Amino acid sequence: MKFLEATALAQQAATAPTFVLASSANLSALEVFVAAHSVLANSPARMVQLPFGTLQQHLRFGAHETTEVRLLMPWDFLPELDWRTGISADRASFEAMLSRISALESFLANCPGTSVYLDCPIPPCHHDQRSNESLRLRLLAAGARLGSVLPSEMFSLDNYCATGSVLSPRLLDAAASEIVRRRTVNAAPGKVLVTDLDNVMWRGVIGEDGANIACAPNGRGYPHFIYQNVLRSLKESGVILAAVSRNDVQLAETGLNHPDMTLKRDDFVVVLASYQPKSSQIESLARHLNLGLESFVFVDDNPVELHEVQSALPQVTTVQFPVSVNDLPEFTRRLGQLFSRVHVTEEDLSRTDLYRVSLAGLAPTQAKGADITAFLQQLAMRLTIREPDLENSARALQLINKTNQFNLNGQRLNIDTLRQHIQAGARLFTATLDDRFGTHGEILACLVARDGTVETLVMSCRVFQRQVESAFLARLNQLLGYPHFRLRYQRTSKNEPMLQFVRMLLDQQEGATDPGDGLLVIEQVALSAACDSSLALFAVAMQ
Amino acid sequence: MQEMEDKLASLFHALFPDTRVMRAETISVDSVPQWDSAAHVNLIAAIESEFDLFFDDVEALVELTDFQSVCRYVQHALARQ
Repeated sequence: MKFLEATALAQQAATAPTFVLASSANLSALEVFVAAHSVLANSPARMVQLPFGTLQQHLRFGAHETTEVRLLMPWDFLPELDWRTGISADRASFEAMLSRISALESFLANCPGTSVYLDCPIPPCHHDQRSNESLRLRLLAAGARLGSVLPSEMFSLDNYCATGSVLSPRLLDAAASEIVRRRTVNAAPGKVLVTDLDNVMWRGVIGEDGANIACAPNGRGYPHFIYQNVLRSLKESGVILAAVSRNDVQLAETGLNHPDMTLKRDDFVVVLASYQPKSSQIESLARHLNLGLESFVFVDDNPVELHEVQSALPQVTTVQFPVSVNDLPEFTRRLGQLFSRVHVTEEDLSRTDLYRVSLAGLAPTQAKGADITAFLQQLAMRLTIREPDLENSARALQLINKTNQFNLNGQRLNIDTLRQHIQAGARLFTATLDDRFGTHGEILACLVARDGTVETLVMSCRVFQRQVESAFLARLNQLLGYPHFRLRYQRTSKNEPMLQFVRMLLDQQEGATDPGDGLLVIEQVALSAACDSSLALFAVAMQ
Repeated sequence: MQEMEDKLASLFHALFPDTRVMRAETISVDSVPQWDSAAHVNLIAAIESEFDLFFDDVEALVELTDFQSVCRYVQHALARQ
């Protein structure tokens, strides 16, 4: 975030409450960024600084509010490390310095509020360089124990010498983000972690991959093995774990009972598996647990799901499961921050068992979630529809033969049966999706018989919630131009999402009934009413 | 150039509200009472943040005492990138 963007956002915090950002440095350039990030964190606030040169007095004798954040530098622990004062000839011994660091650390650990330590380089005050390195590491450890650490890149010696401001101007945004995060975390440590399952708890989609999901400590299972270990550790510190998944209950339970799982089913107080909005499930869970939503943290890999929860329940902290394994350390660090607690009690250890018993039988709610249309519009989704020939049908066949959930009838095809269909006049369509998060590849396949009957329709569950299926059918409807749209539907043990979609189409027709197996006839007007509005969310191209 | 000047003007308006009703060429440390040494530090930090620049010539920064000189300095800094 740049200065002008931060200025615009900060206006929303113009009348918000203030908190003390205590520091020996001049931090006035940070004010606008702190206000902006507090707005983004749904906790608008403005920082106020101490009068210049009064930090030590404030630390020892001041009144410390719980909202206070202290931005500390090495020379706040040991004044002789200040670059601006030069290296004193009568400096203290290494041991004496260590003991002064410990004394201030102990004192601050018992002060209300929290601390952020800026890992500034220190001048070489000892002749033995190992002592200088040890001193820096000891200060870093004290900073980490007191709150969190801003990396050394954020410090600008040039700026500090010239102006007394310690932070590099180009990193004011990142520094403010961490300070606001620290303040928010400190105000309300998390109590409940609600996690998605597919591609979070394990690699793969249980409804599609079955026993081939991966969560063992090897290959592609590693990130999920690590995640489960982190969750187990959080649970041991009293954090309540719950799972919310777009799945059938049975499928979710199958995944949780997979032999490679580190966590077991009983580590979760409840597993809410359904195709209803996740925000509704979390809201219902909070009500049954009688806990405030601000103590909930929701983890999912899908930005659309995260946005839906964030929109409907802004008090909930949402965290995206990392796309890259290399981002896992930062992700686990973030979880550690959100659930950080110093003491673990006997009650903490037995909390999961208590809640699991009290939540026994809690079923997913049918309540509606947030309207995410506005968010979908921002995704700049591009749907490209193709009509591949047989030679280029491998991915389509793979989708048709692998997809279980959004599958019209469970019908499988091989290259020979597909050839027969096409020789009889059928047309194969596929669709690829791109958006501002990247490309999702070929995510949909559809086979339409010569008479216009949709014989096969499958879509990857990775793009659920984006209205791709509606937009595709609306475009197909325009393309084919039949007065009726016919779908060869069959209920299977795994195609609940397709059932919901078909119900949504039938709801637009008079005398709608629950779909039975066989040929469903959807009037064109009903299809338009159900699907046409989704077209506006996409730039659709035919190739 | 114009875009850079517009951004700088917005930046001055945010830091020194009095400048919102002033013509750019009249904005200087003499005509803007809030533009003191502490505010100058914030101004430089805001410029570095907004334009993703790094100014290491402290003496030159002290010479930036009006809107026009700031514009010229930022323009040169951007051209050097």
